[in-house]
Amino acid sequence: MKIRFKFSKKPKQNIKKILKSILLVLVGAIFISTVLISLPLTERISDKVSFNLSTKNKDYWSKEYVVSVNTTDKKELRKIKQIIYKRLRNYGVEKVSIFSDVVSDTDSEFRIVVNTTKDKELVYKLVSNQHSFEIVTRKKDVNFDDTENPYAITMRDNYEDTEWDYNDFRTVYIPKSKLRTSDGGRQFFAIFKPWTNKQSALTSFLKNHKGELLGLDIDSFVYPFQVQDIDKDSINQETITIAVYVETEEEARVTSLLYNSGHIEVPYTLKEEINRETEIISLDYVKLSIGLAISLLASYLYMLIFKYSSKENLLLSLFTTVITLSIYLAYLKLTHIAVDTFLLAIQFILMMIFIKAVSDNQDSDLFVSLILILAFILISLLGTGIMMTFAQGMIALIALAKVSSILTRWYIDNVKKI
Amino acid sequence: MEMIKHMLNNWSVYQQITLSLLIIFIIALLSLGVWLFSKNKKFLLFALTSMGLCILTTFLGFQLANMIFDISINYIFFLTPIIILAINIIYIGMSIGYYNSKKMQKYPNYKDLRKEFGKDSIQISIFTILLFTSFLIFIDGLAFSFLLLTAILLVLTTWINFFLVRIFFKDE
Repeated sequence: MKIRFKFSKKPKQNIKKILKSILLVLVGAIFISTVLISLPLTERISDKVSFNLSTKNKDYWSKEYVVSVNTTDKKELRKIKQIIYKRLRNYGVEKVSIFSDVVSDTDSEFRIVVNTTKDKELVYKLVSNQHSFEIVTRKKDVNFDDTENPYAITMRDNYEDTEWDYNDFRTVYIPKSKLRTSDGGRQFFAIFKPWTNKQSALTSFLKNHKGELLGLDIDSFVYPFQVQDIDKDSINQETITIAVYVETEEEARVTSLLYNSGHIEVPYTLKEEINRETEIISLDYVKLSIGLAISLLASYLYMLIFKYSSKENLLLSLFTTVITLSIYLAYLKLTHIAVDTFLLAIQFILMMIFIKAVSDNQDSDLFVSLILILAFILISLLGTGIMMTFAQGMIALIALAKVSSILTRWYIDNVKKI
Repeated sequence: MEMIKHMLNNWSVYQQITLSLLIIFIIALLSLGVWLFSKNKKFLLFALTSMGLCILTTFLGFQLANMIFDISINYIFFLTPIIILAINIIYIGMSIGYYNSKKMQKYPNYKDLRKEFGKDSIQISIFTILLFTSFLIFIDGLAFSFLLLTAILLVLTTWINFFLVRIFFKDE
């Protein structure tokens, strides 16, 4: 009698099936948890994990700043308006309106109205400072070590002009992170980089004043700094590096904006600050969720009844939409990122249309996704306050929709096989 | 015309330049995308005309809303052209996808293409109406005006595109 041993491949396949099933269950559980987290009021159920949708509604404030400038020249006024707008836009202020009026033969006024969630002190700094700077040297007949006059070191009258001012520097670079100081601490620094045709003149100037204490005069207040020791024979291109007395990265960014957004050359003074009522459009999160659910169901029911799409396509696009929006909302809730609920509603409407269109027309997926992402990148770079915020959110949502689409397709295909 | 006066007098030069550049770059991007994906001059001309008419329709919509209904066109209305642009890209993209899937680069069948455009126009219009209406129930004031005006302009530009298709994609 012959005994044959058959080595069947079935156990391996069974293990694969079991693992796949477990994976599907896990993924399904993640989907359900994500949807539950994203629903309104579910944050009240759990004490263990803190999650809630933070809205920007309470963060908005509005002020009108009245600034006086010592000029009536239209070209100069346009330049000043541009500088202020550039400062505020690049800081991320959501809404800026600037109006100018000539009030006398020599003076004009700007009314700068802001409506924003940004830090009040930093917006005040951007609006109220002329930030016109120049390099100054110490007067030889002034006693800077006089203990009875400790402010001598900061007074403009104790310094002499030099040839170096803001016109000579192409940029003032402030690195994002603090640099190490000579006493072992950490500090933000501003690196003053001259124009190429001024580089050798600056290097000579610094060599002539090596080791000396000079000053940086900003709006008649002087910040002292020491010139580095430079070898006479050194051929290095030297720059001026000065400590910036701010604590946070955001403050350093604002200082950088003050240096690099252009220079106001005429006398510029803040006259008045007026509190205004905030102009915000807010939507209650519960209403947003109900609105979303109704709109989604109504649209898909219509498509199903009038057979605009196959059932499979409808299921896939509905599932992808729910997963995309749930992941996004869950992420916002868990990370406590503050959002504009009204912008969120519009972003979600667009995403529903995008997902439906791309699910029905797989051949258009590449064109639509690519062109939309590139368009929103352009808008986030060149647009104004609210456009930038909207575009950034849309880029994240489109990327998330692509991932969700792959995930849901895989999930539905594998669930069918089981 | 108040809108144009406001833009010229109160916007900074930087703002005028960046927004003008934005419009130019987006038109260039869309044109390049349409040409690369379809290789069809009619599609390119259609896309450029569609963009131009979108901008015109949006502007006229704002003017009419301001003059007739006294709606103040403020900062939130910056989003209307963006939404219309996005839907326009989706609409053109859907048609290019259909055009490529049926290999119409070699054997153009404009009748089928016009039918597909019609089907897409109905889908987008109904989706838009249903989605926006569901939100309009819950809001009032400026938000209501913004969403209603945007929805109307969206549906209008979709059907303007459909009629453009009948002009550009005639059977030869």
